[in-house]
Amino acid sequence: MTNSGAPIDDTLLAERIRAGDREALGELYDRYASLALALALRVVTDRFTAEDVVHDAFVAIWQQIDRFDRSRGSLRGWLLTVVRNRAIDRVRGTRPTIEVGTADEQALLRTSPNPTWELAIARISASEVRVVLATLPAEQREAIELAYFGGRTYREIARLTGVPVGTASGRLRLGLAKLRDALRVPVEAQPVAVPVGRDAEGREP
Amino acid sequence: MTSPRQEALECAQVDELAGAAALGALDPDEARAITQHVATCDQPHAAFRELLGSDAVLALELDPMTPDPALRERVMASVAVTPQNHAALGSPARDSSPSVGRSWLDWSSVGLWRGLAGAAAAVVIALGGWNIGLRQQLAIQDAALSAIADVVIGGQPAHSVTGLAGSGYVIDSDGPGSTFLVAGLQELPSGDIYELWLLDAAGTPLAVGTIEVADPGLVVVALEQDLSGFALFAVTVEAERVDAPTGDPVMVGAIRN
Repeated sequence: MTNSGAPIDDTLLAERIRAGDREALGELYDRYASLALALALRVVTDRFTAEDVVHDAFVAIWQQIDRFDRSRGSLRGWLLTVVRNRAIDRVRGTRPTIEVGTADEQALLRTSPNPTWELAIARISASEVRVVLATLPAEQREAIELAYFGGRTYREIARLTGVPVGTASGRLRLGLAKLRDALRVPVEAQPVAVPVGRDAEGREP
Repeated sequence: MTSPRQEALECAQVDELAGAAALGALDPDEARAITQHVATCDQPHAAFRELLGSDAVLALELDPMTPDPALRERVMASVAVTPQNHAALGSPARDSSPSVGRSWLDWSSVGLWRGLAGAAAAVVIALGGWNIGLRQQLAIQDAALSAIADVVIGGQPAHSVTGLAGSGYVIDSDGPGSTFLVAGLQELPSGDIYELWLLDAAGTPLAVGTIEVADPGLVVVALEQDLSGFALFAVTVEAERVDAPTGDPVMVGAIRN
Protein backbone atom coordinates (compact mmCIF):
# COMPACT_ATOMS: atom_id res chain seq x y z
CA MET A 1 0.00 0.00 0.00
CA THR A 2 1.34 3.42 -0.84
CA ASN A 3 0.35 6.80 0.41
CA SER A 4 0.34 8.77 -2.80
CA GLY A 5 -1.33 12.12 -2.65
CA ALA A 6 -1.54 12.35 1.12
CA PRO A 7 0.84 15.32 1.51
CA ILE A 8 -1.25 17.53 -0.77
CA ASP A 9 -4.44 16.66 1.06
CA ASP A 10 -2.68 17.15 4.36
CA THR A 11 -1.72 20.67 3.41
CA LEU A 12 -5.33 21.49 2.71
CA LEU A 13 -6.37 19.81 5.93
CA ALA A 14 -3.86 21.88 7.85
CA GLU A 15 -5.28 25.06 6.34
CA ARG A 16 -8.79 24.05 7.29
CA ILE A 17 -7.72 23.20 10.82
CA ARG A 18 -5.91 26.52 11.06
CA ALA A 19 -9.17 28.18 10.06
CA GLY A 20 -10.89 26.51 12.99
CA ASP A 21 -12.65 23.72 11.08
CA ARG A 22 -13.17 20.95 13.62
CA GLU A 23 -14.39 18.57 10.96
CA ALA A 24 -10.99 18.85 9.31
CA LEU A 25 -9.39 17.76 12.56
CA GLY A 26 -11.77 14.81 12.49
CA GLU A 27 -10.62 13.97 8.98
CA LEU A 28 -7.02 14.16 10.11
CA TYR A 29 -7.90 11.82 12.95
CA ASP A 30 -9.61 9.39 10.56
CA ARG A 31 -6.55 9.42 8.36
CA TYR A 32 -3.81 8.94 10.92
CA ALA A 33 -5.24 7.84 14.25
CA SER A 34 -4.53 4.19 13.51
CA LEU A 35 -0.88 4.91 12.75
CA ALA A 36 -0.63 7.28 15.70
CA LEU A 37 -2.07 4.61 17.99
CA ALA A 38 0.34 2.00 16.68
CA LEU A 39 3.25 4.34 17.34
CA ALA A 40 2.06 5.32 20.79
CA LEU A 41 1.42 1.71 21.74
CA ARG A 42 4.86 0.66 20.55
CA VAL A 43 6.40 3.23 22.88
CA VAL A 44 4.19 2.97 25.97
CA THR A 45 3.14 -0.72 25.53
CA ASP A 46 -0.20 -0.09 27.22
CA ARG A 47 -3.33 0.31 25.15
CA PHE A 48 -5.06 2.72 27.51
CA THR A 49 -2.04 4.95 27.88
CA ALA A 50 -1.55 4.85 24.12
CA GLU A 51 -5.09 6.07 23.52
CA ASP A 52 -4.56 8.88 26.01
CA VAL A 53 -1.40 9.86 24.16
CA VAL A 54 -3.23 9.89 20.83
CA HIS A 55 -6.03 11.96 22.33
CA ASP A 56 -3.60 14.51 23.74
CA ALA A 57 -1.64 14.65 20.49
CA PHE A 58 -4.64 15.44 18.32
CA VAL A 59 -5.86 18.06 20.77
CA ALA A 60 -2.37 19.59 20.74
CA ILE A 61 -2.36 19.61 16.94
CA TRP A 62 -5.66 21.46 17.01
CA GLN A 63 -4.46 23.92 19.59
CA GLN A 64 -1.00 24.52 18.12
CA ILE A 65 -1.71 24.27 14.39
CA ASP A 66 -0.19 27.72 13.95
CA ARG A 67 3.17 26.11 14.66
CA PHE A 68 2.86 23.81 11.67
CA ASP A 69 5.04 24.96 8.81
CA ARG A 70 4.70 22.92 5.61
CA SER A 71 8.15 24.04 4.52
CA ARG A 72 9.62 22.19 7.50
CA GLY A 73 7.94 18.86 6.82
CA SER A 74 4.66 17.06 6.42
CA LEU A 75 1.65 17.29 8.69
CA ARG A 76 1.84 13.54 9.17
CA GLY A 77 5.47 13.80 10.20
CA TRP A 78 4.65 16.56 12.67
CA LEU A 79 1.75 14.62 14.10
CA LEU A 80 3.88 11.53 14.57
CA THR A 81 6.58 13.62 16.22
CA VAL A 82 4.03 14.97 18.67
CA VAL A 83 2.67 11.48 19.35
CA ARG A 84 6.12 10.06 19.92
CA ASN A 85 7.22 12.91 22.18
CA ARG A 86 4.12 12.54 24.32
CA ALA A 87 4.45 8.78 24.47
CA ILE A 88 8.05 9.14 25.59
CA ASP A 89 6.96 11.71 28.17
CA ARG A 90 4.63 9.08 29.59
CA VAL A 91 7.31 6.42 29.63
CA ARG A 92 9.76 8.74 31.32
CA GLY A 93 7.11 9.81 33.80
CA THR A 94 7.46 13.45 32.97
CA ARG A 95 4.59 15.81 33.08
CA PRO A 96 2.67 15.85 29.82
CA THR A 97 2.52 19.29 28.32
CA ILE A 98 -0.16 20.53 26.00
CA GLU A 99 2.29 22.83 24.24
CA VAL A 100 4.25 21.23 21.47
CA GLY A 101 6.55 23.78 19.98
CA THR A 102 9.19 26.09 21.13
CA ALA A 103 10.59 24.09 23.99
CA ASP A 104 11.17 21.02 21.90
CA GLU A 105 14.39 21.73 20.10
CA GLN A 106 14.67 18.17 18.93
CA ALA A 107 11.28 18.27 17.27
CA LEU A 108 12.28 21.46 15.51
CA LEU A 109 15.36 19.74 14.24
CA ARG A 110 13.52 16.68 13.11
CA THR A 111 10.82 18.47 11.20
CA SER A 112 13.16 19.94 8.66
CA PRO A 113 12.22 18.85 5.15
CA ASN A 114 14.10 16.10 3.40
CA PRO A 115 13.06 14.83 -0.02
CA THR A 116 14.42 11.34 0.61
CA TRP A 117 12.21 10.72 3.59
CA GLU A 118 9.21 12.57 2.19
CA LEU A 119 9.33 10.47 -1.00
CA ALA A 120 9.81 7.31 1.01
CA ILE A 121 6.79 8.09 3.16
CA ALA A 122 4.70 8.63 0.06
CA ARG A 123 5.62 5.43 -1.72
CA ILE A 124 6.58 2.63 0.62
CA SER A 125 4.67 0.22 2.83
CA ALA A 126 5.19 -1.01 6.37
CA SER A 127 6.54 -4.30 5.14
CA GLU A 128 9.05 -2.54 2.90
CA VAL A 129 10.31 -0.45 5.81
CA ARG A 130 10.68 -3.60 7.89
CA VAL A 131 12.61 -5.31 5.11
CA VAL A 132 15.01 -2.38 4.86
CA LEU A 133 15.45 -2.21 8.63
CA ALA A 134 16.19 -5.92 8.69
CA THR A 135 19.15 -5.36 6.40
CA LEU A 136 20.85 -3.09 8.93
CA PRO A 137 23.54 -4.53 11.20
CA ALA A 138 21.90 -5.72 14.41
CA GLU A 139 23.69 -3.20 16.62
CA GLN A 140 22.61 -0.29 14.43
CA ARG A 141 19.03 -1.50 14.30
CA GLU A 142 19.04 -1.95 18.06
CA ALA A 143 20.36 1.57 18.60
CA ILE A 144 17.74 3.05 16.28
CA GLU A 145 14.91 1.18 17.98
CA LEU A 146 16.12 2.16 21.45
CA ALA A 147 16.24 5.78 20.35
CA TYR A 148 13.04 6.02 18.38
CA PHE A 149 10.69 3.62 20.12
CA GLY A 150 12.40 3.54 23.48
CA GLY A 151 12.98 7.26 23.79
CA ARG A 152 16.58 6.72 24.84
CA THR A 153 19.30 9.29 24.27
CA TYR A 154 22.49 8.14 22.65
CA ARG A 155 24.21 8.45 26.01
CA GLU A 156 21.64 6.12 27.55
CA ILE A 157 22.03 3.76 24.61
CA ALA A 158 25.77 3.72 25.21
CA ARG A 159 25.21 2.74 28.85
CA LEU A 160 22.57 0.14 27.99
CA THR A 161 24.66 -1.53 25.34
CA GLY A 162 28.02 -1.11 27.04
CA VAL A 163 29.73 0.91 24.33
CA PRO A 164 31.36 4.37 24.27
CA VAL A 165 29.03 7.29 23.57
CA GLY A 166 30.80 7.90 20.28
CA THR A 167 30.01 4.37 19.20
CA ALA A 168 26.36 4.76 20.14
CA SER A 169 25.98 8.04 18.23
CA GLY A 170 27.87 6.50 15.33
CA ARG A 171 25.52 3.54 15.19
CA LEU A 172 22.55 5.87 14.97
CA ARG A 173 24.17 7.96 12.26
CA LEU A 174 25.39 5.03 10.18
CA GLY A 175 22.14 3.12 10.56
CA LEU A 176 20.04 6.04 9.40
CA ALA A 177 22.44 6.73 6.54
CA LYS A 178 22.03 3.15 5.35
CA LEU A 179 18.29 3.43 5.72
CA ARG A 180 18.37 6.62 3.68
CA ASP A 181 20.44 5.00 0.94
CA ALA A 182 18.14 2.00 0.80
CA LEU A 183 15.04 4.15 0.56
CA ARG A 184 16.43 6.72 -1.83
CA VAL A 185 14.52 6.65 -5.10
CA PRO A 186 16.94 6.21 -8.00
CA VAL A 187 16.84 9.16 -10.37
CA GLU A 188 15.85 6.90 -13.25
CA ALA A 189 12.94 5.52 -11.20
CA GLN A 190 11.43 8.88 -10.36
CA PRO A 191 8.40 9.92 -12.38
CA VAL A 192 9.29 12.36 -15.13
CA ALA A 193 6.93 14.89 -16.60
CA VAL A 194 6.83 14.15 -20.30
CA PRO A 195 5.72 16.88 -22.67
CA VAL A 196 2.75 15.98 -24.81
CA GLY A 197 3.84 14.43 -28.06
CA ARG A 198 7.12 13.09 -26.70
CA ASP A 199 8.10 9.77 -25.28
CA ALA A 200 9.67 9.18 -21.87
CA GLU A 201 13.10 10.05 -23.20
CA GLY A 202 11.91 13.32 -24.62
CA ARG A 203 11.94 12.15 -28.21
CA GLU A 204 9.20 12.99 -30.60
CA PRO A 205 7.49 9.91 -32.02
CA MET B 1 30.02 27.24 35.13
CA THR B 2 29.20 26.14 31.64
CA SER B 3 28.83 22.42 31.26
CA PRO B 4 30.87 20.77 28.51
CA ARG B 5 27.69 19.98 26.62
CA GLN B 6 26.74 23.65 26.55
CA GLU B 7 29.97 24.79 24.98
CA ALA B 8 30.02 25.67 21.32
CA LEU B 9 30.11 22.59 19.17
CA GLU B 10 32.52 21.99 16.34
CA CYS B 11 31.08 21.14 12.93
CA ALA B 12 32.45 17.62 13.14
CA GLN B 13 30.73 17.06 16.46
CA VAL B 14 27.44 18.24 15.04
CA ASP B 15 27.72 15.90 12.07
CA GLU B 16 28.68 13.02 14.34
CA LEU B 17 25.47 13.53 16.29
CA ALA B 18 23.27 13.70 13.18
CA GLY B 19 21.63 10.33 13.85
CA ALA B 20 20.91 11.14 17.45
CA ALA B 21 19.52 14.53 16.46
CA ALA B 22 17.28 13.01 13.80
CA LEU B 23 15.81 10.57 16.30
CA GLY B 24 15.48 12.99 19.18
CA ALA B 25 18.12 11.06 21.09
CA LEU B 26 20.00 14.09 22.38
CA ASP B 27 20.00 15.57 25.82
CA PRO B 28 18.08 18.86 25.80
CA ASP B 29 21.15 21.06 26.17
CA GLU B 30 22.86 19.26 23.31
CA ALA B 31 19.79 19.60 21.12
CA ARG B 32 19.72 23.30 21.89
CA ALA B 33 23.40 23.71 21.09
CA ILE B 34 23.07 21.82 17.82
CA THR B 35 20.02 23.81 16.78
CA GLN B 36 21.95 27.00 17.40
CA HIS B 37 25.01 25.73 15.59
CA VAL B 38 23.18 24.58 12.47
CA ALA B 39 21.18 27.79 12.34
CA THR B 40 24.26 30.00 12.43
CA CYS B 41 27.02 27.91 10.86
CA ASP B 42 28.50 28.85 7.49
CA GLN B 43 28.85 25.19 6.60
CA PRO B 44 25.86 23.52 4.91
CA HIS B 45 25.95 20.41 7.09
CA ALA B 46 24.36 18.49 4.25
CA ALA B 47 25.10 15.08 5.75
CA PHE B 48 23.49 16.19 8.98
CA ARG B 49 20.41 17.57 7.28
CA GLU B 50 19.97 14.47 5.15
CA LEU B 51 19.12 12.39 8.19
CA LEU B 52 16.50 14.78 9.53
CA GLY B 53 12.98 13.56 8.93
CA SER B 54 13.88 9.89 9.18
CA ASP B 55 11.77 9.44 12.28
CA ALA B 56 8.51 9.65 10.35
CA VAL B 57 9.70 6.79 8.13
CA LEU B 58 10.46 4.58 11.10
CA ALA B 59 6.86 4.91 12.26
CA LEU B 60 5.77 3.41 8.95
CA GLU B 61 7.14 0.02 9.91
CA LEU B 62 4.21 -0.32 12.29
CA ASP B 63 0.96 -1.91 11.29
CA PRO B 64 -1.87 0.57 11.92
CA MET B 65 -4.20 -0.28 14.81
CA THR B 66 -7.87 0.58 14.83
CA PRO B 67 -8.63 2.82 17.81
CA ASP B 68 -11.67 2.32 19.98
CA PRO B 69 -14.48 4.37 18.39
CA ALA B 70 -14.92 6.16 21.72
CA LEU B 71 -11.45 7.68 21.31
CA ARG B 72 -12.61 9.74 18.36
CA GLU B 73 -15.49 11.02 20.44
CA ARG B 74 -13.09 11.97 23.21
CA VAL B 75 -10.84 13.83 20.80
CA MET B 76 -13.68 15.72 19.17
CA ALA B 77 -15.27 16.56 22.52
CA SER B 78 -11.97 17.96 23.76
CA VAL B 79 -11.40 19.88 20.55
CA ALA B 80 -14.85 21.41 20.90
CA VAL B 81 -13.82 23.08 24.13
CA THR B 82 -10.17 23.82 23.30
CA PRO B 83 -9.43 27.19 21.75
CA GLN B 84 -6.70 27.41 19.15
CA ASN B 85 -3.71 29.43 20.23
CA HIS B 86 -3.65 31.62 17.18
CA ALA B 87 -7.33 32.47 17.33
CA ALA B 88 -8.15 35.70 19.09
CA LEU B 89 -10.50 35.24 21.97
CA GLY B 90 -13.98 35.35 20.59
CA SER B 91 -13.12 34.49 17.02
CA PRO B 92 -15.49 31.77 15.93
CA ALA B 93 -14.38 28.20 15.56
CA ARG B 94 -15.77 27.08 12.24
CA ASP B 95 -17.42 23.72 11.93
CA SER B 96 -18.76 22.12 8.82
CA SER B 97 -21.89 21.24 10.75
CA PRO B 98 -23.80 24.51 10.73
CA SER B 99 -25.64 23.83 13.94
CA VAL B 100 -22.48 23.29 15.94
CA GLY B 101 -20.28 26.31 15.18
CA ARG B 102 -19.89 28.60 18.20
CA SER B 103 -17.88 31.54 19.34
CA TRP B 104 -15.60 31.11 22.31
CA LEU B 105 -17.15 34.18 23.80
CA ASP B 106 -20.28 32.11 24.02
CA TRP B 107 -18.64 29.75 26.47
CA SER B 108 -20.14 31.49 29.43
CA SER B 109 -23.60 31.56 27.94
CA VAL B 110 -26.19 29.13 29.14
CA GLY B 111 -26.66 27.90 25.59
CA LEU B 112 -23.11 26.75 25.23
CA TRP B 113 -23.00 25.20 28.66
CA ARG B 114 -26.15 23.32 27.78
CA GLY B 115 -24.66 22.30 24.45
CA LEU B 116 -21.48 21.13 26.10
CA ALA B 117 -23.41 19.17 28.63
CA GLY B 118 -25.35 17.55 25.83
CA ALA B 119 -22.14 16.73 24.02
CA ALA B 120 -20.71 15.41 27.23
CA ALA B 121 -23.73 13.20 27.66
CA ALA B 122 -23.03 11.76 24.22
CA VAL B 123 -19.44 11.26 25.20
CA VAL B 124 -20.51 9.57 28.37
CA ILE B 125 -22.51 7.09 26.33
CA ALA B 126 -19.63 6.61 23.93
CA LEU B 127 -17.21 6.15 26.76
CA GLY B 128 -19.19 3.18 27.99
CA GLY B 129 -16.96 0.88 26.01
CA TRP B 130 -13.92 2.78 27.18
CA ASN B 131 -14.77 2.34 30.80
CA ILE B 132 -11.48 1.18 32.21
CA GLY B 133 -10.74 0.13 35.73
CA LEU B 134 -9.71 2.78 38.16
CA ARG B 135 -6.43 1.23 39.17
CA GLN B 136 -5.42 0.76 35.56
CA GLN B 137 -6.62 4.19 34.59
CA LEU B 138 -4.64 5.86 37.32
CA ALA B 139 -1.62 3.75 36.69
CA ILE B 140 -1.28 5.15 33.22
CA GLN B 141 -1.29 8.74 34.34
CA ASP B 142 1.46 10.99 35.54
CA ALA B 143 3.67 9.69 38.27
CA ALA B 144 2.21 12.29 40.58
CA LEU B 145 -1.30 11.02 40.00
CA SER B 146 -0.49 7.34 40.12
CA ALA B 147 1.26 7.90 43.44
CA ILE B 148 -2.08 8.56 45.05
CA ALA B 149 -3.88 5.66 43.38
CA ASP B 150 -3.87 3.69 46.57
CA VAL B 151 -5.89 6.40 48.22
CA VAL B 152 -8.70 6.19 45.73
CA ILE B 153 -8.97 2.58 44.66
CA GLY B 154 -12.05 1.91 46.66
CA GLY B 155 -14.06 1.29 43.53
CA GLN B 156 -15.04 4.89 42.86
CA PRO B 157 -15.11 5.95 39.23
CA ALA B 158 -12.50 8.49 38.10
CA HIS B 159 -13.15 10.89 35.23
CA SER B 160 -10.35 12.36 33.17
CA VAL B 161 -10.20 16.17 33.08
CA THR B 162 -7.82 17.75 30.57
CA GLY B 163 -7.14 21.07 28.96
CA LEU B 164 -4.81 24.02 28.67
CA ALA B 165 -4.19 24.36 32.38
CA GLY B 166 -3.16 20.78 33.19
CA SER B 167 -4.53 17.28 33.44
CA GLY B 168 -6.19 15.41 36.24
CA TYR B 169 -9.16 13.50 37.51
CA VAL B 170 -12.35 14.14 39.35
CA ILE B 171 -13.18 11.17 41.54
CA ASP B 172 -16.31 10.11 43.38
CA SER B 173 -15.79 9.66 47.06
CA ASP B 174 -16.88 6.67 49.08
CA GLY B 175 -19.01 8.94 51.23
CA PRO B 176 -20.43 12.36 50.48
CA GLY B 177 -18.51 14.63 48.15
CA SER B 178 -15.84 14.09 45.54
CA THR B 179 -12.18 14.87 44.91
CA PHE B 180 -10.43 16.76 42.14
CA LEU B 181 -6.80 15.88 41.47
CA VAL B 182 -4.72 17.87 39.05
CA ALA B 183 -1.05 17.70 38.15
CA GLY B 184 1.04 20.39 36.54
CA LEU B 185 -1.39 23.22 37.08
CA GLN B 186 -0.30 26.34 35.25
CA GLU B 187 0.39 29.43 37.32
CA LEU B 188 -2.06 32.30 37.01
CA PRO B 189 -1.55 36.05 37.00
CA SER B 190 -1.67 37.50 40.46
CA GLY B 191 -5.21 37.67 41.82
CA ASP B 192 -6.76 35.20 39.37
CA ILE B 193 -8.15 31.90 40.58
CA TYR B 194 -9.25 28.61 39.10
CA GLU B 195 -12.94 27.97 39.64
CA LEU B 196 -14.35 24.46 39.46
CA TRP B 197 -17.76 23.66 38.00
CA LEU B 198 -20.15 20.76 37.71
CA LEU B 199 -22.77 20.86 34.96
CA ASP B 200 -25.92 18.82 34.80
CA ALA B 201 -27.36 17.44 31.57
CA ALA B 202 -29.28 20.68 31.05
CA GLY B 203 -26.05 22.64 31.10
CA THR B 204 -26.61 24.42 34.38
CA PRO B 205 -23.25 25.17 35.99
CA LEU B 206 -22.76 24.78 39.73
CA ALA B 207 -19.71 26.35 41.34
CA VAL B 208 -18.10 23.68 43.49
CA GLY B 209 -14.73 25.06 44.48
CA THR B 210 -11.70 27.14 43.69
CA ILE B 211 -7.95 26.75 43.49
CA GLU B 212 -6.25 29.96 44.45
CA VAL B 213 -2.61 28.91 44.43
CA ALA B 214 -1.39 26.86 41.50
CA ASP B 215 1.16 24.20 42.23
CA PRO B 216 3.22 22.59 39.47
CA GLY B 217 3.05 19.34 41.42
CA LEU B 218 -0.11 17.65 42.56
CA VAL B 219 -3.13 19.61 43.78
CA VAL B 220 -5.92 17.79 45.60
CA VAL B 221 -9.23 19.55 46.17
CA ALA B 222 -11.98 18.04 48.30
CA LEU B 223 -15.40 18.94 46.90
CA GLU B 224 -18.57 18.83 48.95
CA GLN B 225 -20.67 17.98 45.90
CA ASP B 226 -21.27 14.40 44.71
CA LEU B 227 -20.80 13.78 41.00
CA SER B 228 -24.06 11.91 40.72
CA GLY B 229 -26.45 13.62 38.34
CA PHE B 230 -23.80 15.75 36.66
CA ALA B 231 -22.59 15.37 33.08
CA LEU B 232 -19.51 17.56 32.93
CA PHE B 233 -16.70 18.88 35.13
CA ALA B 234 -15.01 22.07 34.02
CA VAL B 235 -12.44 24.58 35.22
CA THR B 236 -12.34 28.26 34.32
CA VAL B 237 -10.07 31.12 35.28
CA GLU B 238 -11.82 33.91 37.14
CA ALA B 239 -10.78 37.17 38.74
CA GLU B 240 -12.77 36.20 41.82
CA ARG B 241 -15.18 33.52 42.89
CA VAL B 242 -18.34 33.85 40.79
CA ASP B 243 -21.66 32.06 40.49
CA ALA B 244 -21.52 31.68 36.73
CA PRO B 245 -18.44 31.22 34.57
CA THR B 246 -17.16 34.28 32.78
CA GLY B 247 -14.21 32.85 30.90
CA ASP B 248 -13.17 30.08 28.58
CA PRO B 249 -12.80 26.60 30.04
CA VAL B 250 -9.21 25.67 30.64
CA MET B 251 -9.95 22.08 31.61
CA VAL B 252 -12.97 19.89 30.97
CA GLY B 253 -14.01 16.29 31.42
CA ALA B 254 -17.11 14.21 30.86
CA ILE B 255 -18.58 12.41 33.86
CA ARG B 256 -19.59 8.83 33.21
CA ASN B 257 -22.42 8.03 35.56
